[in-house]
Amino acid sequence: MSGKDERVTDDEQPGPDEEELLAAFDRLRPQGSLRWGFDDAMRRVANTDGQAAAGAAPWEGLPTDLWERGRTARIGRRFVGDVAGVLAGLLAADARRVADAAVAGVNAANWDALRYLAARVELLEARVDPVGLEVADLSVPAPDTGEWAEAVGTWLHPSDSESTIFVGELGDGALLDALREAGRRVRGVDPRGASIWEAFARAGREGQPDSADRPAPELVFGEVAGRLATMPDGSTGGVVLSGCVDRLDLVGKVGLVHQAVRVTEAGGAVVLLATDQSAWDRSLPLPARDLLPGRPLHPETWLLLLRRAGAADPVWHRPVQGAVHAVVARVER
Amino acid sequence: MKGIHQFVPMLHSHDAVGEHTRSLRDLLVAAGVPSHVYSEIPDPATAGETRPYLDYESEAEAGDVLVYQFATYSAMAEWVAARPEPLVINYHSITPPEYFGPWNNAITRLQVGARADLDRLAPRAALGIAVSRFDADELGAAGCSRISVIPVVNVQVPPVEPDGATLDRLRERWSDPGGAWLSVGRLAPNKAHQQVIAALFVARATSNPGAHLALVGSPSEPAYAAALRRYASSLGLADAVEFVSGISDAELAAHYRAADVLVMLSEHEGFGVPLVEAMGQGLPIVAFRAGAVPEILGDAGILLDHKGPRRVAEAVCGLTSDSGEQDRLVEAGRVRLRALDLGGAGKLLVEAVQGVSASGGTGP
Repeated sequence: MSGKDERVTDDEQPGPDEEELLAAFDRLRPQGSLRWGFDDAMRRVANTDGQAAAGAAPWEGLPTDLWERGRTARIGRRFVGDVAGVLAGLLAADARRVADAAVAGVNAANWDALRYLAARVELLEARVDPVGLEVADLSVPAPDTGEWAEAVGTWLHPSDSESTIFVGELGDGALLDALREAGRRVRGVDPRGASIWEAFARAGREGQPDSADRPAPELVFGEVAGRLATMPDGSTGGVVLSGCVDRLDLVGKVGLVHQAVRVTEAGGAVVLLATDQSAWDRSLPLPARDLLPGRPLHPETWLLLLRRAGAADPVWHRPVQGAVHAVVARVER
Repeated sequence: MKGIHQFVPMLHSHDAVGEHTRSLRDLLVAAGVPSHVYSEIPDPATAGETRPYLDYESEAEAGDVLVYQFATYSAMAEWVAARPEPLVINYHSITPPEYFGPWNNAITRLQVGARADLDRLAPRAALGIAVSRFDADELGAAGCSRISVIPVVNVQVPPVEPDGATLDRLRERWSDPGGAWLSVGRLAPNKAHQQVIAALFVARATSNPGAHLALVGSPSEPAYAAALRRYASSLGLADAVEFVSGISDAELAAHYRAADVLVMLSEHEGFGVPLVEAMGQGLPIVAFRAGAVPEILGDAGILLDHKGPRRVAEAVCGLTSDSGEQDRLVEAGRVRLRALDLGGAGKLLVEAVQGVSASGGTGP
């Protein structure tokens, strides 16, 4: 490793797992948030001197990409709140129209329209995120799904299926390990870097992550809902969700169930591992219990939501030892 | 009596450019040269040391030389460029605006403006003074035809003695062998502190579960600083990454002395003061090859061409588990520090600006 003049090490570029780790930081950049985009746009619109006028800013002109920022806001939900993320999609069309008009002909009426639009966004933001807290700042323990690790495999497709199983949030990794042990192809998604990297480290330590009977898991650092939204209809053999099904607000939960059913192929299963409501209340710090946007639903409610999303014959399995219920439904087309 | 006066947008204390400006003023005054500091905006902490730059118009004397301390945009630059006195640009590097684009449009625009200022001032300067060859190249590219490379004058030689109480406290807390990583530098996007955090994460997951990081630096870009905290938290490192700011030189020295390694993955450095501070305190270094880092570090540290988290973690853990290599690098650091001769930088700087004064602006 030593050189004559300088000690230089020159190795390969970061692997995909390392890129995922670094990309997680990029998602924290405020440029990806609708709030930041509007604030910045409004500062420029309000300041009508030559430096700040539309198209004259030295770094970027008036944000004609305002509507794109609305899209990214749906991905960067931690910044704008889940509901604001959904609303961002609705506002995007408005924003695009107004921004296009403002750029096409800079006049007071267009700028006024932008200001009014910004005011509407501020009102919405104040409603959905009144205390400005983020889930990442509050301690929410991952549910202990170990009780169901073996059973989940029996609820999914036959084990000789080549279909990939989508596992939304990894917790302590026991579920992922059990599915891999059973020879399943697994795609794991988790917004907690520690969970992803522990899974990477376990796969690496086993020394044979690519063997035919234990295929390497595909691990993704990100929000479960966002990943499901990008998947085609019927593209996965089954969906197993935990953690996010407790934590998201009601709009997010309903959207999650619809997405899970949509991406599951005919004959596949959707498995929801939901924390018991009283156990959730006992396990959380009081501020987190009060301020988090969502709390677990009762399994009966999940049964109802799964039926309404088009899943068939949902079944509720009560926990014997732990505090996590399993709700399983089949997908038929 | 003709003087050598400095112009700086704002004179900050505990700031590299601010301390450099004060040091030069003191050296000039000690040499019997009248020297004042003029600023565009007064800093309340140093307001007694500066004069409004427009006051100079009524205070100018024939034969004066103006030294412009250049690091960022200032409305004063255009005024300085139009002055008839010989001009010296003391260049401290402009952080490229691209780094700030995702974080702060206002700062981004300032940095874009700073580049325009440099293009305006560099061809007009009788002398450019750069703190590194890396900065000298930037000055030359902007049109400055006469350039001297003189290191920063605000690094204390010999090094500051560590604060004893802080050193004891840190040594007690940082008891895991080889686990104390240190990163020093303001929390700004070009410093790439997030990559140090990512590498720490990999190190803890793969080889040293007890490794931890102290990030010492002022949160100069608040959105970036907040994102760093969130990132550490999301990786489960909230207790393993400590953010430290507002400490004295002696307390900083204690951090250098108590740590096992300085990790510096910055992507744009005009000089790299933490490198020489670490060398002075006997701390081995792992750094990314960027900006002036290779020329300042020389062979006194591990220089990385790539900084993927796994690669950095391997380099750091490899070094901290090899006491022989640590000793070799510490000794190489001492040799490198002597070669840089930072103690002589002040004398060189004064001679350079006096040379311009003596020549009437035709050069030293």
